[in-house]
Amino acid sequence: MASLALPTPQLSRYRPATVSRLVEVRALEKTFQHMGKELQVLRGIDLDLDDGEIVAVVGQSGAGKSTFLHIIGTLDLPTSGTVKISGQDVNKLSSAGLADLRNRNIGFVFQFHHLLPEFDALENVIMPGLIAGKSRKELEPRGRKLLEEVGLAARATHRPGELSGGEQQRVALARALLLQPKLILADEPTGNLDSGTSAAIHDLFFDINQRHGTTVVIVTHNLELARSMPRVVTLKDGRVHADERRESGRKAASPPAETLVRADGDALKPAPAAP
Amino acid sequence: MVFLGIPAPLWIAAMIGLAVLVARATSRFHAKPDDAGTSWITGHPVSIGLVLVGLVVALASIGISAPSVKVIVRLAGTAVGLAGLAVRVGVGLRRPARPKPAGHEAEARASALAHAGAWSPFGTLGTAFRLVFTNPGRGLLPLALATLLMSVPTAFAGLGLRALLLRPLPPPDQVPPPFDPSPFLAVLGITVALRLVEFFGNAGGLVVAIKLVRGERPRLRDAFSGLRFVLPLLGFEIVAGLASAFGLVALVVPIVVIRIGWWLAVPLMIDRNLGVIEAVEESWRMTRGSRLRLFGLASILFALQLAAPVAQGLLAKGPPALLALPELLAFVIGPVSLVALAHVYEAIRKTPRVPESSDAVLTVGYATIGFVYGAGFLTLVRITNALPVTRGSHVIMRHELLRASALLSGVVFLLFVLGALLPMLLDFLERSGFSRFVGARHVRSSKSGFLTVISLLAILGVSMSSCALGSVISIMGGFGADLKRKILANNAHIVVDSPQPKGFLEWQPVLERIRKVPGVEAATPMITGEVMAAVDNNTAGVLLRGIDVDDIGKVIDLPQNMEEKLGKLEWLKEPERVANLPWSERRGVDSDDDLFHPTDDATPAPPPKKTLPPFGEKHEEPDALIEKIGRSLPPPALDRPVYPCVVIGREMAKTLHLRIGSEVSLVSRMGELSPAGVVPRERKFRVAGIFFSGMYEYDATHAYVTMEAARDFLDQPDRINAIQVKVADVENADKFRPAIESAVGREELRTRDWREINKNLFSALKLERIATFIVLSLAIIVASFCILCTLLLMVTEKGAEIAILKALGASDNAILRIFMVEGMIIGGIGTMFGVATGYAVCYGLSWFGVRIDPDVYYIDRLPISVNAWDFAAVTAAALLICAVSTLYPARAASKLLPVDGLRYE
Repeated sequence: MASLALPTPQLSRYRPATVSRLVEVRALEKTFQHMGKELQVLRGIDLDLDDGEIVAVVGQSGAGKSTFLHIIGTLDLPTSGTVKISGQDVNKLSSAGLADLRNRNIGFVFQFHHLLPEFDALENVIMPGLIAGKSRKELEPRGRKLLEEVGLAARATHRPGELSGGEQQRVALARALLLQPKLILADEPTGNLDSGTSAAIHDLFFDINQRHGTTVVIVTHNLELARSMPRVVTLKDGRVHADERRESGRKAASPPAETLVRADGDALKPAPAAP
Repeated sequence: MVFLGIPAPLWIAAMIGLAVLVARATSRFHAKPDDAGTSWITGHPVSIGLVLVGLVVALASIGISAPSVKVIVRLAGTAVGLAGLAVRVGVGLRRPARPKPAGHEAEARASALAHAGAWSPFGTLGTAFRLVFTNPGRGLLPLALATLLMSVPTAFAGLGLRALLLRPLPPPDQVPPPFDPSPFLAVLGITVALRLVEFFGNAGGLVVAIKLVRGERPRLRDAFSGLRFVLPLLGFEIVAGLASAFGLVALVVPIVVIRIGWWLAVPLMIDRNLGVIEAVEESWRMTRGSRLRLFGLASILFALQLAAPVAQGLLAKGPPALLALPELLAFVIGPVSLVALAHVYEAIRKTPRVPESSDAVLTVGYATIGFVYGAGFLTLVRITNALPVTRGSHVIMRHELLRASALLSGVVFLLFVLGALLPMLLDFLERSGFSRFVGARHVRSSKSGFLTVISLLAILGVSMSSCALGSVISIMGGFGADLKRKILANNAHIVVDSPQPKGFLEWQPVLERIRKVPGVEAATPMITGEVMAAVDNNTAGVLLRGIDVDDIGKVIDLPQNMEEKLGKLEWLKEPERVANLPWSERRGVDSDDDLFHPTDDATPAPPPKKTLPPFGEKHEEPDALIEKIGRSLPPPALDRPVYPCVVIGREMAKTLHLRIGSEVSLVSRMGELSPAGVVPRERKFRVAGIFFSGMYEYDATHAYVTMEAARDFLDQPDRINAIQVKVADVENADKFRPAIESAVGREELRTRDWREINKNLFSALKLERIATFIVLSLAIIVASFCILCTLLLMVTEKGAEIAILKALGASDNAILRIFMVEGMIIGGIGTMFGVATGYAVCYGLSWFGVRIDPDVYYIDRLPISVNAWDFAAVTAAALLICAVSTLYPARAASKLLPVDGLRYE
């Protein structure tokens, strides 16, 4: 697969330059109301995610993995506890502020692809940029490049209905990357795919993480994948049961400031003086 | 302004419409995938070229002197220039091509196209001939029998007509009996019934033909196996017949396309046992891509089928042996037609379904048809413009049909243009921001291609109600305007009078002063009194008005309202002339509203003239009472006394059976002393003229006499009752009132303008309008419930998408806007179609009018006043209602939690 050669990521305006902790979770609890009964899914989670990490979150069904991911991704608010993204407390932001934060800093890849069916692949990819108010002229070349990087340049005008499962997932990945987010959250991205395609997708995640220092969190049932990750968080009954880091497996990315690549994807050369 | 017989606004509208069609057609030719879109200024060379050519041509027309050529050249230049602009717009809206189907799909398509080229009209005919006549034992006999059955109705019709037309004529000296259509109708009826036999034969024949084409062996009895298809075929004939009737009225082009597209419906019904509607739809689908060839084949078959009767006509005078030839020809062509149809059916059926052809072709076809409609519309407009206008109950059906066709084709053209505009508008919306992009795309995409059935219903609802609202407002406005016009024509703008019924003295100086007021165009005095008119046993209440005959025309339209040929206003001053009018001038108005002319053929001629009296006395003509049944009474006294004259209204003339020159007694309340005591004052008057003001009230009660006659009759030597004033600006007549009032300078007199006098009437009209507006707005509200439902359904359906969009960072507000955009698009489309159609229909109707019965409604045409502001108000109301109806669903959508949408996968 072609390398994902993208220009240097911009600094998020929510992030003070000194802190490299991307996500800080303290005493996170989440309770749902279901049919008049309370269901406590998360019972106090403390977790930190640094820039450039690639993490697998595993656990049994019902352990709260997806809920946890949703809360980190600001799709849901905690019942109690704090979640800080780049130092910004999500509880203190308005709904519109959260949306903005999400738009610029977080990319999602879901299990069921969740592409918009009425739009073709290119339009799906540039959607986050359109939400941010950028113009098509600006976004379309970048979108095309992203599609090329994931190997789908020829399918830019195809609708999701005309793409295979693996192709749809790749489009979703390209979409997640459009605005160069600091964090990519993937909820069982290869749950529906065969092993060959799954392996390709996993490689892509690692690739992204290596080249841009994008923090990647993958919720997965796939133990092989989990074993290849440098950090695995195991959730059980709504708490962090284990948080293992290992030296074996693929390495996480080094801090992004040293990883400068040229836009055309050629050999890595250090760029002239960094900003 | 009128160019080439067509008014300028219609030219402009038509050219804009054609430009839209051109832009649409152009926009469907796909841009290359990496075409970043040319800038607006440095445009596509074709469009710039067209615009320049158009400008040059239009400017060159200045140098042409012949006015009609000049107009044509100018119009052509404008059209070309507009086309250039349209092309530019179309180019700007192009989208990259959809992907070509890859792999096995492409192969299938290629082979489909190759196969589809497998038949041609002439080839089919040759094959059909071959199948029928080589090895005739196989199919010829059953086909011949089927053809025989199919020709039964036409044969019967032909024989029947011949028999009727060759009936012996009655001997010439007898009065020919009136034309009796019943035998013809009987022949027609039986022919229609015999068509069932034709269907029977047709079905059987096709069964045989299909078997033949498939290489099976048809049996004799197959020719008679069509019984169960008779009723379905009848159903098909009815459907096709209705479509044809509609198509004929709305121009011929699409009906040909439709009939060709439906040509395979009958074989489908027979071969696959489909119902009528299914067969029609399937035939339409199947014939896509082959219609041109089918048209060719159909034309050839049609020509061949004409050959037989033509030959019959040509050979009618030849040797009798040759008369057998056309019959033989029919039995050749019949079977061949059946087999040709079967062959084509098989060929198309076996073609693998070709994927959607490039929609550029479809769009160009659409634009072409729209073009034809536009041209047809303009032509019809030109024709109808030249038609004479008939009044009263005189209606020429042919003319009215032409006008209706012009209106219908105009409306269809408008709908075509709006339909072409729609995708372009949606394209435009898609490019202008995130919410609009998503909203427009949601509206557009659905399984059936463009809009879901529910949104279609919503659009239909909104458009029908807004059309109705606009039309009704226009009609009410028309009535109001008509009323106002008639009031103003028959009343002065400002009236100075005294509240006392007796009138006022010393009016001359007041009149002079009023005349000097700036803005006053004319002022005239009037004496009024309520009297009764009596003729034989008929009486009627009369508002008598004594006028200054010369001046009255400056203030009200009485001279213009005088019926032609029914006397003259000036004759009020010539009572002797009226007393001695020749016979031919003494016309009246009878109860059937026709001019009652005493020399009508239905009435016998007047008795022969008496011999001239001696001594050169005036030649007296008999004054006979002529009644319609032709009885004539002997003439009464020879000398006709001179009475003062009166001008009455049409209704009064009808009620009292008065003609010009007739006598009428007017009776006033004023008593006069007579030997028998005080009796009501009665004077005889003679009718000098009849007027028609258009208002029943005036025509039935007003009667005009000279001031002198009124003074004498009403015993008012020095008083008048009112001064009637006309001012320069009728709409703002009330502004002149203060000046006139001060010029009048007398406390006891009141000065009122026409609005004030008719205050009750106009405020009632206004109230009616407001009430109607509100009530019909309810209809729009009901239609907007449809929009509400559509949106709620869309929100429910798209819960997952909303969640994704929120996950991507769309704010609640953005989601709200998306659904509001969707609702507004649906409502906007409905409003646009409805208001545009309503406007076009009302415009057309105001132009040539809907005929109504003048006896009942007192006007012969529905008055419609098309006011752009009214339609703007309707548009605004409709859009507002639609906007409100989108709020709830849009808000519901915006409040959906992303997790809810993502959770249930």
